[in-house]
Amino acid sequence: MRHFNLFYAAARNIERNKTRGLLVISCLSAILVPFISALALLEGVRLQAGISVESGADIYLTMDMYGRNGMVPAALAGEIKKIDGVVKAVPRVAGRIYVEGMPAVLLGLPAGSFPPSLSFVKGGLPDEDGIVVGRGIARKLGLDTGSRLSIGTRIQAIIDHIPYVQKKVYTVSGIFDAESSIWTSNLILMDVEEAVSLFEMEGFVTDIAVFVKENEIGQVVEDIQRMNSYFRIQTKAIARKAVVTGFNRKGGLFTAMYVVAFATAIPLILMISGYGFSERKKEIGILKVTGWQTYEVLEMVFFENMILSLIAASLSFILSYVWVRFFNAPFIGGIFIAGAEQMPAFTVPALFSWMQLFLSFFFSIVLTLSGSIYSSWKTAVIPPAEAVK
Amino acid sequence: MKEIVRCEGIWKIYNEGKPYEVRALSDLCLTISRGSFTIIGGPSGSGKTTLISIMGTIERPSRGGISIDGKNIAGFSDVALSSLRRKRIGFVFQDYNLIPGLCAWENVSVPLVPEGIPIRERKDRATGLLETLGLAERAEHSPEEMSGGERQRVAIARALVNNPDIVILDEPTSSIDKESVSGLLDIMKGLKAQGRTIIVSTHEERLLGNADIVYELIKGRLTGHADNNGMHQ
Amino acid sequence: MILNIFTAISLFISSVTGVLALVLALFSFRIFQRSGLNLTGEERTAVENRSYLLLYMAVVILWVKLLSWPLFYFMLQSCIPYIQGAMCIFGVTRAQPYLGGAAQVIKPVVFFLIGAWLLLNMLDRGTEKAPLFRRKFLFLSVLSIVVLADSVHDFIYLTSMEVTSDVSCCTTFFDLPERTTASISVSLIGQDFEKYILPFYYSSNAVLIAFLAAAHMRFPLLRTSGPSIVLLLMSGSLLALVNALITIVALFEVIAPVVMQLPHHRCIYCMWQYVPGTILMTALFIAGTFFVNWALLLYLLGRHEETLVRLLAWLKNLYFFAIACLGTSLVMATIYLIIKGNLTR
Repeated sequence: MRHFNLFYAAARNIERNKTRGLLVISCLSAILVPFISALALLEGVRLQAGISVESGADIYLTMDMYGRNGMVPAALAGEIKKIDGVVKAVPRVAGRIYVEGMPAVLLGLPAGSFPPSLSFVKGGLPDEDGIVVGRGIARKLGLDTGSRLSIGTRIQAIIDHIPYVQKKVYTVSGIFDAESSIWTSNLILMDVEEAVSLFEMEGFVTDIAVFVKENEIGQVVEDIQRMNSYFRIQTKAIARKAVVTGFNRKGGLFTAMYVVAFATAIPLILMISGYGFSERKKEIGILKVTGWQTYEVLEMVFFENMILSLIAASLSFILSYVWVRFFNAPFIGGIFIAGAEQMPAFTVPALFSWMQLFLSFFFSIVLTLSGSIYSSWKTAVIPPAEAVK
Repeated sequence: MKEIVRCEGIWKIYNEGKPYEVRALSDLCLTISRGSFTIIGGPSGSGKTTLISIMGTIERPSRGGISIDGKNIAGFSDVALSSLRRKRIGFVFQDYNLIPGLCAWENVSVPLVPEGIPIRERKDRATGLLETLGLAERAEHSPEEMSGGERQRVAIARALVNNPDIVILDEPTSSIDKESVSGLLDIMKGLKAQGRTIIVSTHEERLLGNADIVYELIKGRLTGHADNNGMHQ
Repeated sequence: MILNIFTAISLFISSVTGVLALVLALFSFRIFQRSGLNLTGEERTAVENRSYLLLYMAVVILWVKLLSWPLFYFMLQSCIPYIQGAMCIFGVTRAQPYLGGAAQVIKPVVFFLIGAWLLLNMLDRGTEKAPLFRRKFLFLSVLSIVVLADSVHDFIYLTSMEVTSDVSCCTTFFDLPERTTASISVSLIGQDFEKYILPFYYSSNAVLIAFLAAAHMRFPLLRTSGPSIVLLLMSGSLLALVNALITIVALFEVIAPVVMQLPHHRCIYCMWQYVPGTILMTALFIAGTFFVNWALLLYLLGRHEETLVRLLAWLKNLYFFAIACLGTSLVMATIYLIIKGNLTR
């Protein structure tokens, strides 16, 4: 009951000294909200990258060209298809293009091989000179079915040091939505033949997506490798591992940088938590005269800090959720998602889980407790004689 | 009467050994009897407040011994001194020292918080005391809404809430009007009648006449004392 | 080093606690030295005031360490994808076997010592003249060095953990016939040790709990000093240690395989991962063992004529908590064994 009384007294103190409480909570939230939001975005992007990997092919085949990925003959897809265990071999053309000065990803696929996870919001599969665009990019550029769009690929000429880009005009035949919202932000789909012609790579494609029967990947990889040792093979398992470790590292780098912010927050908390110290001196002195032990004052101050840190942690988590989910992560989305602007036009992927909640509470408590050691102690050891002065 | 507080050769030196050293008390010896009404008198700066602070265990003497009920508390830890204060000593300050933002009953119940007494019981005990001091209707009021006399009675209630046997009042008449002084005198007489020991630091003439013993301090030294048998040097 | 969210946070925490522990070590030793001198009232107040700062720092360290204990295991778990061959936390610890193993030993030791110190401080707090003041600050300076060692160790461990080529995970360690827990059991019991483990586990826990219960009832009647109480507390600690060894063997050999419903997999790290409720079961067992040993340490460090009467009441309480924790852990294990398998395995 004694601890409960001290906890209650701490809560009443926070209620009475709102300014100090608000300062500590604001300071903690200012640090924690971007951190939690960023972690949620990273987790969201990782999840979507995972979805992309899982819904993609089992093997991606390219040629080794001086250590880089090189083009593969389009006809190779037919040869690959003949290998035992291969279900489907799809020649693809993928590349970076510029649309209205904005970078986008162009993916050329045979008409029958469009991903089944795509759902058309408007229109349908592309016809001749037709393209299909994601909902995000359509919103960004104000496109609708039937809109015409010029796509630039390569520099045609340089006149007076100014590059002139070759452009071709296409008609939007459909707008799609996808399980992975990032896809909709910058992806443009067209028929593979049209993409081959746009990129001027007749007879070649950028890669071949190979779909394999369950448990036969190892054998198929061996067979492909045997066909030509210059083939570069990337399996789903490699992609999966790259996604996990890649995003883990990204998160780690971000956290490592953010740790500097946390470290600077400790002296900040030290200053803020001592706010109102002179006003409190007499009050603590009175408590001491009436028989409060220094331990009890210390416990009450500890509870005050705990309550403030718990409020700050909960508030930070809620604010991050609102920022990301309801406002679509303005300003921060672009930092973590390639191609996203300050006000992302597509729904940014984010995943809020127990991990962000745990980290929110963890950092809030660690920062408040370690930052307020000195001020808490200074408050608790105010001599009772202070009340008589 | 049996003695309750004994000070033996007490020295209180602030900033000892430094150029700005202050000797607040010098080699002071006195005893206070259980159930007595004792006044510590003397001009401003004579060391009255320092002496009652030491007797109230708020401060430690620099040298010398102090015992309460025959037990030397000079070697007591900070925690033990706090516990002693909580159980046995009630303190009323010169300017009442009520906590702003807390209502009257909350102020009165402050010493009960670390005792682990539930809030309902704390409120009952505090309002009961306020009632006996004629402040029943002011229980929910904050100190800012009260007169000087009312605030003092709230401070007295806070000093009594733990049922201490020693009540110390520091210059209790300095901030109240004449009517309130007589009311205060009645309260102190009532406390004495309950068998409590009252120690007051004051130079208020009307209180001096009611004391069992008056100690006179000048520049930190005891210059004499007067009891019912007359003045002694 | 392997850089991810958890390793970055763990580095931050080890730096913060390391700095705090260093300050704590220096100041607590100074207080120990100062408190031995003949002090004036003001000097004594100053020393006491500084002691509160150290107490608060110790509490903050305890909280941070408590919160970062699960974080340490999350950190190990987060490293699984980086280390070839690692399938659970155990595999990650095999990447740096000595540092990984030491980390898991030093952390419980830190908790045990901080807990003992807090108990000692609370005991001293209830006295009039704080007779344990010097003792507790000497103990705190030693304890701070252990905390500092833990933080430095974490720092070295985290920064030196590399993506190694290959490690052998739990299956190639705990599931082999020559595994440690089996070798010990064979040498003590014989080849058919498996059928005796559960009876041993229940008997040893029952004996320990019965001993603690009997001691709990005897405490008010015991003399406050002398060999009988030391003997009693030492017997309790010895029984708790023997019980700990038997329980560890039972956890690996019987409880983990049954709870995971994987009859040939004997990894408690996997058990914690697959059945998180077993973390509580293990934590309660550790807490119960700690309570028994805290009682002995508290008696040895907190014995003084001013503390003895309260000390007996405390020992009684500590044994009560030990009974509660060990009993609950045993009940939890039994429920898991009934639900997930059968007791006659």
